[in-house]
Amino acid sequence: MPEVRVGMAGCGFSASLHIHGYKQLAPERCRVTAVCGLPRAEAEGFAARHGIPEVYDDFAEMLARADVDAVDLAVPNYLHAPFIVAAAEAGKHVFCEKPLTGYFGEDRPPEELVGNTVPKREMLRQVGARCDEVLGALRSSGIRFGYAENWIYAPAYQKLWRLAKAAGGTILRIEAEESHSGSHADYAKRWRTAGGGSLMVKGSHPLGAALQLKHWEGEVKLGKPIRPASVFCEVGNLTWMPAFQEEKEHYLRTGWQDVEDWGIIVVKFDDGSVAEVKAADTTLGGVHNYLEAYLSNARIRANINPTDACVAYAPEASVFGDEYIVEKIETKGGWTLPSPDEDWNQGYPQEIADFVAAVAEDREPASGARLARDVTVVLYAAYVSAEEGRRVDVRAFLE
Amino acid sequence: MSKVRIGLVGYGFAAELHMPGYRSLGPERCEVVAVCGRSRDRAEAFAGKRGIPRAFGSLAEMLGGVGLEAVDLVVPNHLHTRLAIEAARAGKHIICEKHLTGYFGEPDMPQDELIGKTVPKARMLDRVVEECNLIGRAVEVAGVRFCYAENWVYAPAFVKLRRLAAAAGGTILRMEAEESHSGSPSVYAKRWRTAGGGSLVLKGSHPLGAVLQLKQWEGERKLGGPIRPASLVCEVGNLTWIEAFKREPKHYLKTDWQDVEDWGVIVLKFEDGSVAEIKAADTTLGGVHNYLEAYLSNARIRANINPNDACVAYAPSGDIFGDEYISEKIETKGGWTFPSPDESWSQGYLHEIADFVEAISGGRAPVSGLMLARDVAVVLYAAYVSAEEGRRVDLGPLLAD
Repeated sequence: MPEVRVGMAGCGFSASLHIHGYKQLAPERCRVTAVCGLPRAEAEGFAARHGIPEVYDDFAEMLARADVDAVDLAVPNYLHAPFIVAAAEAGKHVFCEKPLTGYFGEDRPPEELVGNTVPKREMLRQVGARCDEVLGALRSSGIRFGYAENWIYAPAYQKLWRLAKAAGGTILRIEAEESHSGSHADYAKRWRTAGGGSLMVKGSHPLGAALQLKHWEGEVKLGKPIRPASVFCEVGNLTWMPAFQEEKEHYLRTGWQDVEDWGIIVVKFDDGSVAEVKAADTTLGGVHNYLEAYLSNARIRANINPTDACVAYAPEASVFGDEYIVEKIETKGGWTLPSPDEDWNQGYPQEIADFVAAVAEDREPASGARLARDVTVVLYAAYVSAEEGRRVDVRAFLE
Repeated sequence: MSKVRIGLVGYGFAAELHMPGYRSLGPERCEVVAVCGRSRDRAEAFAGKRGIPRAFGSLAEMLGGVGLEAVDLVVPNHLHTRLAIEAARAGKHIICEKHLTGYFGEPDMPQDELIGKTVPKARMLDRVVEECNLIGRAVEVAGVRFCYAENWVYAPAFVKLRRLAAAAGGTILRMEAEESHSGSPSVYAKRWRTAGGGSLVLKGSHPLGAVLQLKQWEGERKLGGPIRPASLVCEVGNLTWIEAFKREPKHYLKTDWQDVEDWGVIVLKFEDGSVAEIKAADTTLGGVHNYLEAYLSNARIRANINPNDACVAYAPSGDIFGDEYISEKIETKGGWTFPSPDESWSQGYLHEIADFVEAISGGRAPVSGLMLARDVAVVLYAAYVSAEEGRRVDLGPLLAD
């Protein structure tokens, strides 16, 4: 297998997460040869920390390099679509953090809270058009596209799918959730930077995993994927409740501007099966990520995080000192479910390994452009449903 | 406290379910003094078996023939409205099995009509609201107590959840609750005409009742009045009608649902901005799956009503435990199981009866009363309207009497 040379776009949190994945692969399989980021000083610091030889502050310049086969897009959401198109035109493979794209209010004044002002139907229209543009560029370029949906690669989810295949029964119903006590980052609290609220930032994971499961089931059994047909959705702002706001101490994150902090999407598929996809920034007790599949002849639950691989108790919070417990847990006291290796549980090294192998072997990665587009379109259709208070047929938006 | 004399109306499964509750209170606190039903013979047989002194062929006969404080309506749902009004007019307190009422068709409709398919849900909702109002007025005019037998409200795990929520004092932001299993075996559950709906009515009414009660209680405690449901969206489906499922040679789930759903989810919004997700399915393997989880601003509490891990067992094959009961609707006794030590205790059947008897003799309202009964009935049919019309339904006008 040829070596895959990666150019990293971005030098923030998700860039670090991905670098960790590349480093776990054998050096003859892949190498990060360049990084591009702003401000340049930060990109240089990132390069020095991770031993990356070349530094750029202009994405086009990095794309022009002959020793870059693939680019990893760990840049702000609104840059995903233009960067994918540019990379595709330059013939570089793309590994892209979620979401594929979204509505980020580029057509409105910068101070406007677009989550409050722009009709969701208009957002869906623009997002649908942008998805078409991106998929068109990918198709004509013939490059490989990896969508960084780590849930698809989480070992518990992969095991669930193998069990489902072994059972052979029909997947009747899926229930899946990603929740915790709220994102710290300010960017997550505004539509303009996040492209949505809990459903977008968290719900996209369980949604992607649910859609992929029915897709695979259809391919295995019918020779064609089972597709989402309609969505019915509610969103809410639970931290805006007057009773909550009057409380003196807040254990949940607050300050959500024009995005929801809770949502649920009920998806119906074209075979009549259903999925309940939930997301919240209002859940205490640490991250709460799982998917449960109800088959006609089996029931399988993938506890992505937490799991009870390790169970601990401490009579007070200081007992475990600096040892990591689990994402977003408020106290280390009492019973906890410490995660032995959160990156592994959540599929981060596995998604990188699959993308690198897909490029080297010239095949599709397990999580690709089709899933990326489906998730984006279904999410915005869900926002239309919640805003207009009615069920939305998604088939027309998914070709 | 004076002794409460009870007259049972009905002698079927629900009557059997209520009897241990009365028995456990002792004869100085309550006594079932009579039973009545359409068949005097069956009423007499039930009375003989259970040591009940008198049996009658109708509620009117029983009301005229024996002195009692309360009647317990353990008859099919479609009879509740008429009998509740009759009992209220006679000045008797009422204990009523769920549901308060529902839509079961009109007298002029053929018995075999699949009304779940033919009658618009909006019309059903109108009728249910109307009947709820009739019962409400009759109870109010008579000044009697109305006790709604929603056992989840009394399940020890749920009561503990409420006590923890009270101790925490935080706002209940979100609730998630479900009742599911692999499907009711009875034929009556599979037709709208007899059941009044599908999974949501037969199963979902429990988690729905518990969720509504929790917000009622929170409001009464903190604001001096209940927090009311404001709107909902709902989806229902027939998962056992999926083509791929129908082609499977062996079915572990119950099939043959005629005109009722076998899966549904209701997303409720309350007037204070909090939310609840209520789920019900007849398509869930692994035994009954009953729980409620409350997400507060300063706590998270889960009530595992059934199963829970009070007892955990393993058997390498399904025959090891022989005839010993494991838990409701479990398909095999092999592998890991969660045997229920005492299902009628953990599901609140004993506790609900104790509260009703105490409420009646002590002249106070029961924890589960008329408002809850009515809210559950109206919310369920509003949910069916939402699913059928594919739109959010505003509950405000429907719940204002």
